[in-house]
Amino acid sequence: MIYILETQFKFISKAFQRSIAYKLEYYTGLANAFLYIFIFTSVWRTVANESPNSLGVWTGDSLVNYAILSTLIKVSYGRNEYFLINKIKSGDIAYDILKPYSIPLMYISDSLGVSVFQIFARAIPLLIFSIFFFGVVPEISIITLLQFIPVYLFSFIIFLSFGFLISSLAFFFTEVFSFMIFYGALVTLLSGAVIPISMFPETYLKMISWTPFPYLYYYPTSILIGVPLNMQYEELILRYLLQITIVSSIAYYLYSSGIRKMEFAGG
Amino acid sequence: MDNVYTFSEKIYIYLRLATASIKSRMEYRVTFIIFMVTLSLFYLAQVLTIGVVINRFKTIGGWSMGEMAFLYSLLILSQGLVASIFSGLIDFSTQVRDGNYDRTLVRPLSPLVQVIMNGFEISGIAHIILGIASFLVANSFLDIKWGFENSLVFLLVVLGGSLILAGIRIIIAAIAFWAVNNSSLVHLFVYSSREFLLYPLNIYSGSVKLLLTFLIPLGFINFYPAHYFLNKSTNDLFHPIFIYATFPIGVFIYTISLFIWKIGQNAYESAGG
Repeated sequence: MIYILETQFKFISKAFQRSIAYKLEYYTGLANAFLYIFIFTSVWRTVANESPNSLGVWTGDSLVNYAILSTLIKVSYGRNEYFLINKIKSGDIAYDILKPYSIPLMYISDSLGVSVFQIFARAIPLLIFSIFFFGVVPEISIITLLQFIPVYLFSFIIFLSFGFLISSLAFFFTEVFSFMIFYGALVTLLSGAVIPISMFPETYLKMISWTPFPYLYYYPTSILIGVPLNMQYEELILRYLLQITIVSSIAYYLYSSGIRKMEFAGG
Repeated sequence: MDNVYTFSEKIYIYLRLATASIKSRMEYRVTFIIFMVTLSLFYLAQVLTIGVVINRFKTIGGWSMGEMAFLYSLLILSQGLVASIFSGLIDFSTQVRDGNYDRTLVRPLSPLVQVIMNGFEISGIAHIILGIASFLVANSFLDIKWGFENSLVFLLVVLGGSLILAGIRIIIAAIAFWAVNNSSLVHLFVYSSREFLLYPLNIYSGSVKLLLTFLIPLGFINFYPAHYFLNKSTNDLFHPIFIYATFPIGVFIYTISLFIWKIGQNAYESAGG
């Protein structure tokens, strides 16, 4: 057990150090996230001033807070799909399956390493910068924070599972970039990363809430801001568990099927 | 060495390079079709996102649904042309790092055109189809009279917008001559900065408007020329003449970019051993 933990910790540390290595990458990544925050805060400020009657449960400030916090949550998750995809494409996975550790655990540890880097090096500086730049500080009570932490962790597990699912498709397709684009499209539209899903007409809202996407960014951000969720917190947690079970089961099924069907060219 | 081939022979070779690039892209037909479909879905998701906001708030910065669609069509049509022709510049830094760029230098052809033609990307058609669709949607909401003059100006605007985007791609690619790796800059300046243009420039603060007008003149791709077609008030613009400036600005940026490429190429030292 200790050996497993030590190994996973080394993977986390390696991923963290890898993320630190590219300085230009770091600064442009920060600029990129700031750019998105800036665009959406501008959009929300504009529409809140133009059409205050259409805001519903939102206010101009809560929308600006939403734009900032949803981007920060998104930024805090470290993407590493290519970690597994490259191994499958190059055939290096043949060596990894011979080694005494689990590839899914290795993937999770690598994601954790990148995410720890993202939280400390990107999300926190961006939060401080946003508070000074946009002048809006969300009031977050201890209870809100306690409600947020499990939801944030669950949404991270869904995020990880999606990444692993897409990575595992590399066993079956020569090119998985298209699937990443498709996933990106669904995230853009349905996850709440760009617009709160409560902006959708009522008829679509129910349908979207049963997909795993709003559980990525919409619900964690809404909890932080204190926007009504249209369900009890307990129900939300149950729904999270359901979504985690579904997405991670599909991901693991694809991975194990891929490992079984894997054939290597070359001698 | 430049005179080994006549002009028409050079054009023929460049077209052959572009054809080879298209063929290699389409070698895995199913993968290619899936890519085209998902790319279109991605842009559709982007449009729907804006549509949801407009549907709820009716206008963004005083721009209605049809006007926003027109703004989007100008952007995506210019982008479609650039994504088709200038995609080879996106991962140019890889060629610099691997030393593959050296191969283009020993041929009696323009290195820049070789890089561009080797990366000719047929999937840009997805942008153009979406651009035409959003143009048609915009026209169903708006009352724009499409006579000869308007149509000609529209073509010049799309061409000018394409030259601006192409010029930016060349400048960012040229940075690889010095920095070797420019992938994050590509992401920031080629992809992310474009997000500004999904919304009208007047919703942003003065400093961003200045930036997108004078420093990185992306505003000339859709925001300023849209005022001409939509007969929108020019009172809030830095200058009313900007609504006609897309094509000249495009030519200017493109010329500057060729100049920077030339300087970069002269400074280039092969990464190989």
